[in-house]
Amino acid sequence: MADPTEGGSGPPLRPTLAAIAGVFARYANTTFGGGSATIAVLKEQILARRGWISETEFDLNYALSRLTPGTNLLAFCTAAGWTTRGWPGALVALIASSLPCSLLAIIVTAFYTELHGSPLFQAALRGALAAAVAIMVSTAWVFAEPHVKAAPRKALVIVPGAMALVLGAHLTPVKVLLLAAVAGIVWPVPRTATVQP
Amino acid sequence: MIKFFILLWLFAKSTFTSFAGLASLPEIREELVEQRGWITDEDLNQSIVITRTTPGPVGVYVVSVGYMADGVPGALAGWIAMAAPSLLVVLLVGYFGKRAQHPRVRSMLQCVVLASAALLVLAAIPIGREALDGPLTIAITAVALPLLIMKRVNTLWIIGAAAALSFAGSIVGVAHTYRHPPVSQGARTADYGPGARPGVCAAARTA
Repeated sequence: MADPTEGGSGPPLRPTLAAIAGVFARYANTTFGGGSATIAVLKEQILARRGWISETEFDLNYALSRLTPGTNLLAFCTAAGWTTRGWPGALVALIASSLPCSLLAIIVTAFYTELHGSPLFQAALRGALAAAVAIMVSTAWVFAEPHVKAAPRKALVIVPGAMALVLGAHLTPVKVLLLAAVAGIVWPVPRTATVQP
Repeated sequence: MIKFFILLWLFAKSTFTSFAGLASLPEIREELVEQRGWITDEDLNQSIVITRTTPGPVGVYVVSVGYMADGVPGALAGWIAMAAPSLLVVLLVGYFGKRAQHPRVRSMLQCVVLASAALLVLAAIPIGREALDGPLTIAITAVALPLLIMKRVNTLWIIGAAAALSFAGSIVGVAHTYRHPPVSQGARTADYGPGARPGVCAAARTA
């Protein structure tokens, strides 16, 4: 944690396009467990380790990518690329994060019967999926932690509230997220925080 | 060539109007299986299994579906339709980024991040039910979770080690304790369509 590029302290360090391509190609295409788990890995890489974006920029990119149509992970990568290097960064991040996994999907589709008939392949996959469960749960904590500490009352309302809306009222996730956005906008703001610079 | 543009249109129509992962599935099934018969339900199930088998976003299943329907051009149509909606996020980030210091915008972002963490926990439940099917996989998750939360070990190492452990386990014969074959049994199209179990549906949409 004594890393000099630690995010949050000092201005973000903007990467080269090649560095963007390298990080997104490596980390956006190697994590099982779906988009959010992958975004948690990317958060560790581009915020904590490399300091390309700040904690506020991460929240901005992540929250808005959840409200963008299509695949959230790719929207997050595009947003992070745009935040660091504008449109070229956005396009490089989008291609780097979507092309390798697409090629892999084509290869697996072409050889589906052979691969899925192999017990060893299945065994390796089983292990990777078990790790994915752990990654998803830890991801929830990685995202929520700074806000649970900064705004514990919000966390106490929003987290159980969101779960109840999905399990009880069967709302779709995007509706739950939009309701959370509305709750955040109308949430009473402490007097000291309303002073604009 | 015509088929490429039809596929591109059909895919884009459903990816631009769905939010996350497999939410576009019912519409793609309706068009490609029911209306045109270019792929079968079995193909569609297979494409979902493939995206769970390969790393990366779940939305990549449209690439697999495109490949089944029309080979490499179909896969290209799937890739374009999967990637293109992401560019819309730049408009949102551009608009809210200028206002990121406003307390109400900060509060909104905070609540969306918290709610999405809650959804993520729910999404892990059906996958856990399916994946944790023996002592070895339960042990892998139990060891991986604290390591991940303490950020002691890089995620890629954990995935690699988990796959290697399970692979080695099946060679020495731990595998016969498993109850059923993995993924292929869990991911059925019916789980993601209308009237599906809510937990699974949530996983499909949030993953």
